[in-house]
Amino acid sequence: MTSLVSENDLNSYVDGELEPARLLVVEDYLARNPQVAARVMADLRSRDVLRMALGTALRRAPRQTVDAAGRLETGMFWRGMIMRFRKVAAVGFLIAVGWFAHDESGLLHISGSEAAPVPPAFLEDALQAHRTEIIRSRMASQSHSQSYDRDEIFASTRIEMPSLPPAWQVTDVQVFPSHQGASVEAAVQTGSLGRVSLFAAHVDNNVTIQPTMTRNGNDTTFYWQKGSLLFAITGEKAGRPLRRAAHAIFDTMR
Amino acid sequence: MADSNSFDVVGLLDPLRRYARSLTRSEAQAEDLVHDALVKAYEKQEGYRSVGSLRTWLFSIVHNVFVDDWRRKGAEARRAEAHAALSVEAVVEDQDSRLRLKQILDLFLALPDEQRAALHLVAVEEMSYQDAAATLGIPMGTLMSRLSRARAAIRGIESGEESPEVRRAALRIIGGKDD
Repeated sequence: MTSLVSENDLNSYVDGELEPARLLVVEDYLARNPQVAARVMADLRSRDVLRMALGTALRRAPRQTVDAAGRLETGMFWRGMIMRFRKVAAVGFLIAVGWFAHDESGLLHISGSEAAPVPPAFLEDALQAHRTEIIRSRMASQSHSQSYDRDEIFASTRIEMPSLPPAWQVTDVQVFPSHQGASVEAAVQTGSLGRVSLFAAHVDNNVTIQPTMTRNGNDTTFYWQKGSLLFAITGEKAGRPLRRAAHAIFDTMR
Repeated sequence: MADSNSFDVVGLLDPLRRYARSLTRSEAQAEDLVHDALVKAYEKQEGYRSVGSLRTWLFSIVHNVFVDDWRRKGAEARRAEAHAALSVEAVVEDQDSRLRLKQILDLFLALPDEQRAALHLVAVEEMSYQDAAATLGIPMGTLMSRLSRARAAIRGIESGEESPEVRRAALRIIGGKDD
């Protein structure tokens, strides 16, 4: 065995960076050189002291730091999604077209100083959340939260969810990352309308938009805006019952 | 949406804040540094892919913000604040251990920034040499020589003043960790 043990070997030994073969060489050397071994022990001790003193729990992170981390996380998540599903751009286009073309009444009911376009990004979020929910509902391994606790949702997302018709049964509530921070998706078993998803998210502008329809494949979405909150209800059974439900919910919101 | 877990920035907050604390030597300054770094990271998300792991990328942004923006603002002047801000009392109970711990911590905090950064990443965060070098944007050889000098500085000053009690106490720290 070579007795050529370098300074770097000793550091690598302390930091657990040695290959097994080299490890034996260094340990053999240390066994024969107690003074060097004592030095290594001192380094190990300092390392453990630093780990204990500086690796300990910190005070709770400030709110603004957690918010900044959440924003970054959401941003990176969507960057990743967009990279992975390049077709999202095409879907966004279809939704944008559908939004203008399929309003059943032929009118866009938009109040406010000017027509405020609903960002297609929001509709992507709503659709994505709806489809994810369908997948989740088929997976026994996914945990489902059936508690539609509006106060709790508001406390954690600052989204005030609407009250729902009494016959509707919420089967799952999820918080999703979306373009503007956290968003909420509730899966609802409605009876006559089948399974629908109610999606809510923050947006930048502050206007009122009456329930407006858009279609994508088999999915029909009605979205509306109150203040800076956008809502969307999506279901597979199209048309009037969903429209009535959307208006009924819209009317309950102040 | 399991994919969101691969961008678990919130889960990395504590390690980032610890690193920032070692860099700035102040808890309050560390919070500001991490916040600045997160804002910068948001602005340059497209840089992420080229670097590899999220952890390395975020640590390197904290580091760069510190080096580029913070050190200029006279971080040296804040040195005095640091020692009081880092409390070690809660970690060990007996006086001797506490004294030893405080000595080593003081020596660590007195290291030049670049050595302190290298030692923190490797010793406290247990980063591999490769990740630590990538975080700091330096060759592996440079990292190792910084570690070596940092350890020599801590070892050098503490040697020769060890009472048997201190040595016994220090051994107990290590033994306690392995239990």
